[in-house]
Amino acid sequence: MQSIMKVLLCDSAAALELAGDPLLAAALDWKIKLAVTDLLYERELRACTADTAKRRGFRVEQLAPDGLQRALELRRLHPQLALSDACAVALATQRSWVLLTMNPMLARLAAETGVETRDIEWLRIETVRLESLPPQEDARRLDPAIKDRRTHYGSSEHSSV
Amino acid sequence: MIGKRLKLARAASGLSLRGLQFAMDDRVTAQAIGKYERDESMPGSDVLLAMSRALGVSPEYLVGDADLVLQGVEFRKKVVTRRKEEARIEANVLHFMERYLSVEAALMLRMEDWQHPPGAPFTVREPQDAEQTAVALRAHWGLGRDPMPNLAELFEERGIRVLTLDLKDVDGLTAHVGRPDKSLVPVIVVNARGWGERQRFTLAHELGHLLMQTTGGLDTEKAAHRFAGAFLIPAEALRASVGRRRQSISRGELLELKKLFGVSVQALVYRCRDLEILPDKVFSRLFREFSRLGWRTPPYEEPGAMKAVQRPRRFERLCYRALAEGAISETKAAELLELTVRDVRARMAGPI
Repeated sequence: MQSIMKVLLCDSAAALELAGDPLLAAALDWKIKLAVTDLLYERELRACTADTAKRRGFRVEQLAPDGLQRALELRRLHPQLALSDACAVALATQRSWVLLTMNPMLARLAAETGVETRDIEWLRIETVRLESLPPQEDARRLDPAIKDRRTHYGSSEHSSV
Repeated sequence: MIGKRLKLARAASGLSLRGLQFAMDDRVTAQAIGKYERDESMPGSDVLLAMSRALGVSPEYLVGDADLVLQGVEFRKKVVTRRKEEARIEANVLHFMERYLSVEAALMLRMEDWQHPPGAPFTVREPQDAEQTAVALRAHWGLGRDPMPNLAELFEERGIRVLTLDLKDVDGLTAHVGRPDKSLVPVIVVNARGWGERQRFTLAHELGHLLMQTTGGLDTEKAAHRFAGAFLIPAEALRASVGRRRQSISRGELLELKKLFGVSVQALVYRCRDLEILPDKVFSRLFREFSRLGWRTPPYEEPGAMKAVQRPRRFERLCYRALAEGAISETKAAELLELTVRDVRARMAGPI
């Protein structure tokens, strides 16, 4: 078994993609820690499949008062940010975590504030690279999935840790 | 900071500081909540969530723009409205307007002012002045004398934001939301639970409040009623339908007119009296009949009651447009629409 490699904080869209996705199980088995803010969890995930994910290790994180204050400042500066996304950036900044996002606008802002970002394609590639899923199944699932994400979310940079 | 919004939300809930503490299962003390309200400290996200649940508002409301303020609120009350209910309405209006202005900003839409006739608000001394104000507005908006199918949409096209809310003791209200740059945005709120014809009358009545300032002892509410009648049922259109003088009118004829103008039978009869089409004694006899039939008491249901159809859609359309154009993320769209991202995706996809 490998040790914990990274904690990735998810924005809403990324968390929704992961909730209920078999990839999540693989990622957690592989010891990538995935976290969401409590605000996002309450808003989007509590009522759906994330309870299962939480039992498996999907972490729900709180912001301390100064973190929430920082999130509100970010939101004031960037009114296009949703509260839950501003909180994700603030928490990622505070804890020096990587932000897993499918929102190009959020990725740009996070990068500007010095937060490292990844997208779901990166997570899929990493998971496959480490062979946490059977190779043949990966190939069937991964190719169309990547193609699909690129169609919808443009050409964000991918890199591996 | 969250002080102003928290205080308003607590007033709307009717909870004391200690009551809120209990409603939050003692997660924080009443003293701590007092400090949040005075902006002396900030909660963490867990406490913010607990407070929003206990107060029945979203966390986004509590951390909203404290610089937006509600001004000149005029409630059209059925009975004396409790402070708690007024605070609830004010909180809802502020939260809605904040989201509305936010999506307009994302789309770079800036409506400088609503399209009122030059010189408005007009000084109104007698009921006939209210009548003239309605005529002037119809002319300014190029409405001719035809009935108007969807009043809420019309108002929004002309720069007046419209909000429907579940209201207990209030039919509607007019207010101005003051932006940080000191500009004012008019908003009309109508009861989502009313019948369509009552909603329409309330919308027109509240529009009257935006356009008129009464003087000389003229009752403001009566002037707004007269304006609403004149705006919804233009004099010439009504005379063309029923004639210039009548000694009686049947319920059947009134119900046909109700369909044509989209107003209640009672509003039609009032209008006929205002225009001296019906004499006072016929008016009184008809209203005694309406009382006997139970039309003048809750739930105010007349035959041919219109469903509550005046729900404004512009805000929702703007959110979907902003999302489609990439001006906001789907998370932001979900926040503005108070939906989940899943729901937004489903609505964007449309029915299959």
